[in-house]
Amino acid sequence: MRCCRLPVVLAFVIGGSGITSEAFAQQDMPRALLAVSPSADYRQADDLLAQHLGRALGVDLRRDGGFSNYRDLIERVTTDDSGYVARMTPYAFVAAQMLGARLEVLGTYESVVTRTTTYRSYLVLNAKRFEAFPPTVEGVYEYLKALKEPARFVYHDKFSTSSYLLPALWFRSHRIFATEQSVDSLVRIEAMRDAKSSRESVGKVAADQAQLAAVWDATKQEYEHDSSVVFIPLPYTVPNDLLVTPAALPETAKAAIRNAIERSPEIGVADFERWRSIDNAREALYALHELNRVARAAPAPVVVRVTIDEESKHSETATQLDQIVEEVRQAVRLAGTELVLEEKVHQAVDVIWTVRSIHSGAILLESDIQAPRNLRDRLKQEFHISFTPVDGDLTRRVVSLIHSRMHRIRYVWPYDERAPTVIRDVDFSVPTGEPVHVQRVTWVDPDRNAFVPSEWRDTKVVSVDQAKFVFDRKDFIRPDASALDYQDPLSDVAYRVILERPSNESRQSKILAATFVALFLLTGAGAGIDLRNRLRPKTQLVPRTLPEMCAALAARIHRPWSQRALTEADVLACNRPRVEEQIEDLKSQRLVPAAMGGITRFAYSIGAGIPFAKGVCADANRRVELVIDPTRVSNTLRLTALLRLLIGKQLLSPFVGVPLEWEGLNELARAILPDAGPGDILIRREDETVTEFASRHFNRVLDEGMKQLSLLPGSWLVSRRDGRCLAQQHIPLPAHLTIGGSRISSLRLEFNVADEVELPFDPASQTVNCWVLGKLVRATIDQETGSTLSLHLRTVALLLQPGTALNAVVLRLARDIDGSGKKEEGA
Amino acid sequence: MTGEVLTGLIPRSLRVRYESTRPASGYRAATTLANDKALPALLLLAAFAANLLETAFEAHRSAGITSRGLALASGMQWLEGGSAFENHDVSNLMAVYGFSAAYFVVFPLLVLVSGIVFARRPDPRAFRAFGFALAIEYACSLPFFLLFPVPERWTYPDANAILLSDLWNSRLIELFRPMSALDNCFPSFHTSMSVLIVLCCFVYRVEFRFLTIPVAAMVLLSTYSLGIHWVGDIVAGTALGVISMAAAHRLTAR
Repeated sequence: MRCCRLPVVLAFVIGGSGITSEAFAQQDMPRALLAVSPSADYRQADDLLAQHLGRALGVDLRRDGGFSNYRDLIERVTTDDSGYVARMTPYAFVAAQMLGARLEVLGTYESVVTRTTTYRSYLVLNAKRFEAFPPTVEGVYEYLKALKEPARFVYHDKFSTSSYLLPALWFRSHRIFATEQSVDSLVRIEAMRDAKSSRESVGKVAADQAQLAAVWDATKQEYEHDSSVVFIPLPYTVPNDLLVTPAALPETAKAAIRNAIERSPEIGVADFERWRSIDNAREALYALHELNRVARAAPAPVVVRVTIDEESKHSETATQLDQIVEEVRQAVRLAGTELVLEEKVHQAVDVIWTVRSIHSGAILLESDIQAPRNLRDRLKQEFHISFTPVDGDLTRRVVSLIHSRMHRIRYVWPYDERAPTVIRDVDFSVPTGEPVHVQRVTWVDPDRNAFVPSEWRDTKVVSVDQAKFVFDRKDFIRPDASALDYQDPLSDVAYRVILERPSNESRQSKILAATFVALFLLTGAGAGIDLRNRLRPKTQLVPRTLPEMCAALAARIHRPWSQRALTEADVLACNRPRVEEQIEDLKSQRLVPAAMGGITRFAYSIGAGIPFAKGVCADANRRVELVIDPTRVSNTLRLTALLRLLIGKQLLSPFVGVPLEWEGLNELARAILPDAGPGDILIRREDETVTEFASRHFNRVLDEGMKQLSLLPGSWLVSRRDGRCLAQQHIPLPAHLTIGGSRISSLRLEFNVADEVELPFDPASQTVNCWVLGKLVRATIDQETGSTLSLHLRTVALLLQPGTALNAVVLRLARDIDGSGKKEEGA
Repeated sequence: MTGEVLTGLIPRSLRVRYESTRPASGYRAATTLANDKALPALLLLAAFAANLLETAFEAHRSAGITSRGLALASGMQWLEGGSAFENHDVSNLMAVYGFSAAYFVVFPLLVLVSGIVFARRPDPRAFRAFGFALAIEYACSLPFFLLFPVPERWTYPDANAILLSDLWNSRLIELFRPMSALDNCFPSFHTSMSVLIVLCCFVYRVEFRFLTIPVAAMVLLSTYSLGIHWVGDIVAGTALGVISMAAAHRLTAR
């Protein structure tokens, strides 16, 4: 069952899609034929064309007869890009394209008169008046020149290719102007729109009401046997009317229209024999191409003078300036723009370029448009150009500047009566509302850039698009006349506008500048940080807890050794193996700088040989050699380094012999109470809680003293016990401490003194003042008293009190002398 | 030898006192001095003199940019993805004056002041590292200058750049030219020196070291903004600065 339904569904889908695509295709088809139909036979011919196209395309296509002239039609095709075909004269088509319309030519017609798809334009002259001159365009020129009064040229439509555009182009090329000025270099005519059709123009010439007109082949054929007029062909061939569509129309639609045009029947109305696809009308295509070229005349030349700055002529680089100027001039030639170099024939200069040498490889190019001073200053452009002596480098750079940076001078397009328009051929835009400068000039001799300038005026850009700039119409009314005069192509009056190219800073440059400012501020911040670091006193942690405070007090006691360089006299005893052992311990904790491990170097050796006699073999080795063995340096140096490391890195235990807990608690209390003086005792040592705290902490200190080296001062009583020399120090505690469950009221510190050590003790008191660097190894409570804690130290070194080395020497000497005296006495 | 031991074991302040207790022989004093300051100073002078000679030689050899230079510049631009300046001469005054000052004034001052600061420090390692690193840098750069003559960015037409400092004063580049040939662009010596100074300041904990970071960054940025260096030069300069400093630090630490 399902299998039976499938073909049905598929057929429905396929059929449906076909209908849909056809519907879409028809939706894209044109619905109107736009045309200017000056007469009934033209209307009839357009209706026939519309009917044929409608039938062929399967749409209801009708003639839109709402256009009385080509200006309206051009307006429509430049603003609308869908749903129509349009019949246009070739020039209307070219003008529409210039104004921004995107059209595509699909067909043209074959003329009844010419039997081709092209036609020509003919100047019409009165036969009697012209009989003395040769029947050529040169003869016409001579004829017009010979007339005492300006010849009257009549036309019926400004967008008529044959009656207006082509003769206008020819007039301009021969310096024939509709002008009031009487100048030898110009030929004067009077131009007036004084006819409704080309036939009427011919009639006026025949009746000698006008001396000149222009018509096309069909009109000429009508008057071919009329001996009162002469037809002189102009040297241009143009295509017949064109059938165009918006370029945006889908290709399928355009192809369908082409097919329909190609299949169009004979019309035989007016001049329309039949319509043909443009693809099959090569002649018309070539003629259209030629018309495009002629009508889109290059912008009027702008004469440039290149000069050298006066100061630069006397500079060190003056010799190179001629070469530089030549390269700049070459740039003008190669740029391919409206800029032309000044020659002797030129009467006026539009722009002056001044080259100023900055240094070898850099110039300043000033571009100065010739205008009143106030305007000139505003329009002046300066370009710094860096270049290298490489051939053509400067030229390339100037060409690039011309194309990308310089202001441009453009002339108002004279065919648009509605608004002053400049056909856009520059890549930059001038924003709407932006003021621009405009000048009216009256040509004397365009070839020699000779003109009579008027004052520069300001106008505004009222609209901009890809094809044109449109300016404010009211600014083009002359102060001394109410009429507009920019829109007469036959006139010698022209309006030129300076299009100021905005020279905007690139985004990259803005970002870089902003980054620079940020870095500048950061420089200040960096300087601030550095200054603060410099001015800030060395940070000392404020002790906040009892351990911190005791550590700080211990560090204060150790401070005399922190920057001290030991001398041999300072060291009473040094157990070198223990020093090295300690350093090794610290190394294992990665607390020793590399330098304390000695000074090493990498040694390289390269060897070569013939192993097994099979080939050359090379080997390279790297090994570490110990240059300086630190264990072999003197005790003083080694001990100094160790001591500095221990103090600097706070590796000493906080045990300094005397319990610091009560003082620490007082310091903490004084820190919190602002009114307390430095010596005030705020904590009662006898208080049980205080005792408990102090005891607990002192126990921890003793633990640390067992693990780390301690450095403690003291006055030691030296005695001999069991044949060994023992130094002891008895320290009564100001309050008892609980250690190991016993109430301790005094400490006894002791250490053994090696026999070979000579202690500078006082013979009378048998005491020696010295510092002990060592580690607690034993803590016992005296069995007899039960209140004395004995702490035994394993010494690493014995150091004299700072500043007592000399006394020690004296004492030692005194003892030696005393000892020798006793020996002598004994002897 | 004793001096070496002391250097390793105790700080200089103590060493001086220790040394003062022993009559130093002339030879040892000279050796110490050479090790500490004279050798790096000599290296600095040598690098500077070599640079002057090399630049003069290059100027004598060729007046402008060679075709090989242009090809290299083209390669540099390709490495940057074909980037080009746009309206370079329309840069704002801040950029013109700021970057010119950074390149032509701040950088020489940075080098000079850093050299003096390093030299005046009691610890000679910073100055030694500075001297060694600069010599290494120049030694590494020289082959590139001679065999890999990348021209300055502004000289390459497609880069669309100008020498931005010309908008301030063209004398700036003229004063600098005897020390920097037109095609000695790769690697950027401004960059490598700046990086070196920053690293040296931080490794040896020189005062005002934080100041050097933004200053060096400004110099780096100016090399690009003025239209002198390519991005490739700056990257290579940075790498060279780091490598030179690492090598010099290692040499100094021995």
